[in-house]
Amino acid sequence: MAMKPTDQEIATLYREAGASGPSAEIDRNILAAARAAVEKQATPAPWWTRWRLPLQAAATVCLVAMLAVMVGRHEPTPPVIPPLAMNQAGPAADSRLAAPAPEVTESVERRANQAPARAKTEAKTAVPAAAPFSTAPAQRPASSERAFAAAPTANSVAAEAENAPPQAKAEARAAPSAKAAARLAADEAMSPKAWLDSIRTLIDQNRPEEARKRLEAFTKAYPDETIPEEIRTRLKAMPDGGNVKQP
Amino acid sequence: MPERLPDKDFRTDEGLMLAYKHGDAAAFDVLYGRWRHRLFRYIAHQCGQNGVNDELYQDIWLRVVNARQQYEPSARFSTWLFRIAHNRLVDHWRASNRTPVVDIDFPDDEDFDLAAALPAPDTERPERVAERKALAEQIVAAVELLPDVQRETFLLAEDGEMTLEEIATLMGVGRETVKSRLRYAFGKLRQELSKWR
Repeated sequence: MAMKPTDQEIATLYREAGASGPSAEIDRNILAAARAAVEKQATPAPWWTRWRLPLQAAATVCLVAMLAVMVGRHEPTPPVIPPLAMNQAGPAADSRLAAPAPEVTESVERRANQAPARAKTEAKTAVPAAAPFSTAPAQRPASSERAFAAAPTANSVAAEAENAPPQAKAEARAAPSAKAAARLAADEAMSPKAWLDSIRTLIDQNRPEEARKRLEAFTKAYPDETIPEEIRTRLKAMPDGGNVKQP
Repeated sequence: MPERLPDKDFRTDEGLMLAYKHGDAAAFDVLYGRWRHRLFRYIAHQCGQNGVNDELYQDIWLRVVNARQQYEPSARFSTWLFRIAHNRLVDHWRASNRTPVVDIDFPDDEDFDLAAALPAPDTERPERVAERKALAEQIVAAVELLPDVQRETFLLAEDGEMTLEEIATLMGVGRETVKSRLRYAFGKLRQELSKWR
């Protein structure tokens, strides 16, 4: 830094001033803490701690797969009601307990295939709040009952999509560059915790490139903040994770 | 312990920090010896309260220790260290509801230059030594009287050995602003010094 001689003189005088340094006790504390941190780091972690995260992930995947298989196997089959039993039973009879009869299976299946179309027409006239297992007339096939119950749901999902707020649609169409600029401006005012949360959100949204960029900016602004291990791990696990820079 | 220990370690500050990052505790001892006095002086002149100084100083070094795994020698070690110190001071000021005073820009610093001439030091004569010591104490007192932003700029340049660009990045202002603050700081120090000569 270019300084005039007088500036240099002032700087020299300033350095000569014997400002008291830290006490010996503080020196000892800091050096002891530094040494302890390194010794702790040198102690190898037990093998199971290194495999904890992958094992957790594997266990979760297995559990989800098993649940999916079990749910698929135990899916209730549409009950088949023999015509004779339907005639004998009253409206309150529990037709779902009736044993399937081979001779009517085919016709029931045919009716079940027709059910969605019929359900649509019925849904327009019937009360949507009708219970799926209401004491409906016994003549109505069970498959039709289920379709009837499902019909309002399907319609409502479609309606929700149609009636999505225009603001949300506009947001979805927003230019990515504008979003990035706004995000950069917002980063300036963010606390470290909020910043890290936003990185997590980007990872959740499967946007590794942006997450990495934001992480780099974070480490520049807050060099002493510890980056949570899970963020590093998740970023590495993402596509192109090999490019993750060690901040 | 002297201001910068004449340690026999030929590694740079960055090399020492990297060594410490990889488990060499002795490297930290050397690094600490090199920077302890400067960092303490930076904190002491920024804060001015004895108990708080010690607490802040210790906390900054502990942050350095805890952040060792994130250290990358992309910049000088001193820049990294003083960035941590600066952030910690800002936290402290926020907690104590103190906001840095913005300096007032004077039209020019010609007035300050009138009292600029300082004689060459003559360290051999006892009366000169005593006078010089008194002047040094006056400089320190004058530094503490500077507006906050000028003082921090001066301390980062002198204690942190940072360049104008590095200070500008750290403080989030332009290079010319830093240059101007430094010029006013030296101007005021010269003015204060002239009263004692």
